[in-house]
Amino acid sequence: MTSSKINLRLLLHLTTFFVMLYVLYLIFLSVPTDKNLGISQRIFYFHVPLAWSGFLCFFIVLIGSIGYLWKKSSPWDHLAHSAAEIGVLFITLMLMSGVLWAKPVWGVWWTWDPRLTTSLILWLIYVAYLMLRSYSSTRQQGAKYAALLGIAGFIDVPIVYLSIYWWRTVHPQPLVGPATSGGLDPSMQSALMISTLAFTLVLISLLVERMSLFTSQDALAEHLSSIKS
Amino acid sequence: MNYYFKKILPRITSVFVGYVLLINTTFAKVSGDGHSSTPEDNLPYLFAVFAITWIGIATYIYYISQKQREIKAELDSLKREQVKN
Repeated sequence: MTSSKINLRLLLHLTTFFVMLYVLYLIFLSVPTDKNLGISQRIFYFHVPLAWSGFLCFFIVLIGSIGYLWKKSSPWDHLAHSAAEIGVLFITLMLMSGVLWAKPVWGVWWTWDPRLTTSLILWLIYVAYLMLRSYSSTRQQGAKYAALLGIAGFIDVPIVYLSIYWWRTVHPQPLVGPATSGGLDPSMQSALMISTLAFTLVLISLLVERMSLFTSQDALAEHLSSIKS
Repeated sequence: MNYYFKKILPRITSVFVGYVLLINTTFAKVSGDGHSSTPEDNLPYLFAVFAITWIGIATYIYYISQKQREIKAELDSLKREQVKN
């Protein structure tokens, strides 16, 4: 690996670290406390960006899967596989943060609300995606079936987003975006935006490292096959 | 890698699904009991969210770095053996 690539990666990781530090400062020291929800409302600054990052990961899985089926080249497959792993991580954390926020606000840890249920289904789809890869007899077979599931599974992402409009729900309406109900304090809104940026940077950093691990694994496999031959 | 997906991931999945189902059936019946008297009583929930998020991300980074280290060590040993031969 060239030193300029390492320097770029280091720069990315350092930027992510400092933006995340600034986000923590905003969340705990800068933004006002919500009058109704109290201190637990601060969970919002992690919960929403985790959901956004998870959805973005699954969009990358979609792109990587289409690319793999089209070009049949392993970098596309590595991109989809890496993004699926990171997406499952983010959606797991999003579900857990949701569970921990629901208890003080709704009085229950979990309810079979459309938004929550579709999110859990999304998580299960991509866990199945990762399992499908590991249970396939050959790498090519696993990559092909996983690509198909990666494309089909993405259908659930807009369903999760639109579930609050389609069905009766206890989940709050979106506060930012094209169809918002508004009413978010400007300082809260900017903290949410910067937190979303920070989690997107975390996503990119993890994706770069995971892709690099795949490259190393390929190099090792190539080396082993050259020794055998 | 295969061990991680074949042994660890199914266990994590089953524990998480079990956890969701258990808390749903156990705590949904006592809806309303969880409301705190003051909003500031919710600090443990906030702490739990931040702790779980960072532990989750740190564990994944640790997993990647360990794998990277193992592969590098294996590649180095293969190269050393090649030079010897």
